[in-house]
Amino acid sequence: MNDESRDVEYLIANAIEDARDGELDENWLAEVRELLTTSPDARRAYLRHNQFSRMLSAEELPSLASEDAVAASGVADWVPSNVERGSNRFLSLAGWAIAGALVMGIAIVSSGDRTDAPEGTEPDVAEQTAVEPPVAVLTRAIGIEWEHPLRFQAELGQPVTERVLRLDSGIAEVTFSSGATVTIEGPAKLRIDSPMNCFSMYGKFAANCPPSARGFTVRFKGGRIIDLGTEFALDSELDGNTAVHVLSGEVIVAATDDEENVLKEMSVKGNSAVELNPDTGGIDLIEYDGEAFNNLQRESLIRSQPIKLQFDLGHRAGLYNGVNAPAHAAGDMFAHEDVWTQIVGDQFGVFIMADGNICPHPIRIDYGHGDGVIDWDAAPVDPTGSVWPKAEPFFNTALCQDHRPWDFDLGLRIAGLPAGTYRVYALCRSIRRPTAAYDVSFGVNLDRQLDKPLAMPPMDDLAGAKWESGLTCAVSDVEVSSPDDWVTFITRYSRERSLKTTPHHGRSVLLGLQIVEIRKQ
Amino acid sequence: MSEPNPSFPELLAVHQHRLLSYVVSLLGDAESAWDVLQETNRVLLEKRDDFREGSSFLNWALTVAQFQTMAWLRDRNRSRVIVTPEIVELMADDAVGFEAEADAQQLALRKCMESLSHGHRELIHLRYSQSVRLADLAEQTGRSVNALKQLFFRLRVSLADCIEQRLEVS
Repeated sequence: MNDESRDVEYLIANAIEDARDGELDENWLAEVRELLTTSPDARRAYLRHNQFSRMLSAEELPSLASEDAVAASGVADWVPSNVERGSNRFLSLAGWAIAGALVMGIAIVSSGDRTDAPEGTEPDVAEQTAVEPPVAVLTRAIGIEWEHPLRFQAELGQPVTERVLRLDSGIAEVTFSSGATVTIEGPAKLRIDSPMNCFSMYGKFAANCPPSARGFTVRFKGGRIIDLGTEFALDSELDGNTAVHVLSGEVIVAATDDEENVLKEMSVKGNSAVELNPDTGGIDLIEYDGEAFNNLQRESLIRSQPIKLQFDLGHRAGLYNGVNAPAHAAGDMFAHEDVWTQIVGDQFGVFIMADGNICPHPIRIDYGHGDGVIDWDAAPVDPTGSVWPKAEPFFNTALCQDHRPWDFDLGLRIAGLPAGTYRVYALCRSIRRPTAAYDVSFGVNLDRQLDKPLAMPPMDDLAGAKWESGLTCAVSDVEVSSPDDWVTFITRYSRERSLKTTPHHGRSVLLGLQIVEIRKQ
Repeated sequence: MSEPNPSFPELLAVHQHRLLSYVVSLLGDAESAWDVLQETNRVLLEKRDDFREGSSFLNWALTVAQFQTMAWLRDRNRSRVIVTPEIVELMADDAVGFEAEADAQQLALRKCMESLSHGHRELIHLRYSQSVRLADLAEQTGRSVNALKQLFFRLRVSLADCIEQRLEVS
């Protein structure tokens, strides 16, 4: 390549890179277009650059062989090294194409065409769990519709692999690894830049910044907001003004020019608001209207989301480690919903929901057992006997070790849930008789088994390390008409249906319960 | 026994990658290219009866993609896109040639990347896979934007030379 060609190549490369960042001004753009129109060399340089960028974007980052080398680049502590694996759309192109085609009503025969995916680059589970958290995770999704649903822009509980979130409608909450949460109401467009930075293209947003995210910055056309430990909201018009309402705490609001140089900045405190005009660079005080963002604030979001609770009925809270339980396997709970509440008998008061938020409804839990009719005043019998080591991951819980005689029923009931439909997943097994079968009843205000209880079959994979589809549990939907209703669960060992290898004795046990409010779309 | 001819949906699925690659070459912006690809797929499905079995599906699909790219440019005024419909028309044929070589180049690139330091690979990854802005990279690495532009240009030239050598040898 001669010097002249290289100059053209460099000029075109810079123009494309500037355009990618939205930094190409009109004069510069006109010059480049003129060059592309008149020069075949420029056009080839343009195509070559784009093709090369596409190829570079498809390259996996190799494993971190040398941490020193990464540290030397100055970026190791900025963007976690695991994020890129899932974020490259080119690598999952075949999957997208097939999914898209299926949505379009086409049957695709071959689903294994990943010609562009390097072999052996799928991260294994251990690798995924050992590395740092992703930059951002979609932690709440209420009635959302993405602008391009075929792209699967983000899934609840999963890392946000799209750099730009385009929401047509609904409310989405994104939690950054810095701890900051940004809630978006569609139509809106948000670009995720790093754990401490995002860019609001347009729409309504609210940001909540805990101390760990102090300094979290939201940029937008003509300005930026730097958090000083607070909750703030903004409403950006497409290519227009941005209103900033500080709900609590304090922020620094800055007006910036096209180069993002600060033209003017001011401190704005709670219960006040300003508006930035990108054309004039001005910051004007406006009337505070926090109520306009009520639906984006944390408390109202928690109240508006479905209730999800999960109870570990033993002395090893977190036994199921969240994602290993049936509701997760069934898709009613997501990976980030991993908080289990330990239950060892009657309890009441404030409970933590599966996603770690405080449940807005006081909950009562009542344990009982009996022969035929449940005595709700009964308490679990102190555990005795030894634990069967092979079954320990699943079965070592306190209620499991309730040494009631085997022909007893075991019950648990929950009150305080608001009216609605709840899907209840129950895990019931015996320490010593994992191959036992159970009769299981779900309902409201029950004091005995239903006439036709659900049949929970014996477990056939004693070495299983986690719950997956195919492992047995009992599931049923229950209608609740008021918080006074007791959502009731009763189980009993079934002699008739237990495997013949199971000795004719066994206990009725309850290891865990997952409760998910089901809302019709 | 000979393999049955692939169905239209199979052809469409198999060529998604090449169609996207072609549109990215023309537009230079992956985000926008996805929009165009979506529209191209829609048109291809609508016009599926126009496709004659035995003719080149890819050539036909690339032509549709070119016209969809031009239509997309006419309908929108995007700051992230440099080209106009007229420029796309001028370089549409060349783009097919570039796209056709892409697979071999990609394999060579994979090897050539190994010759870079991990820090440089990380920077390339952040810029091209993660689309991190140059200004942000500059802030985080303590370099100026211009210095980064020059660095990326040098890296690309070095990788392009390496790819060329590898392809010549093979």
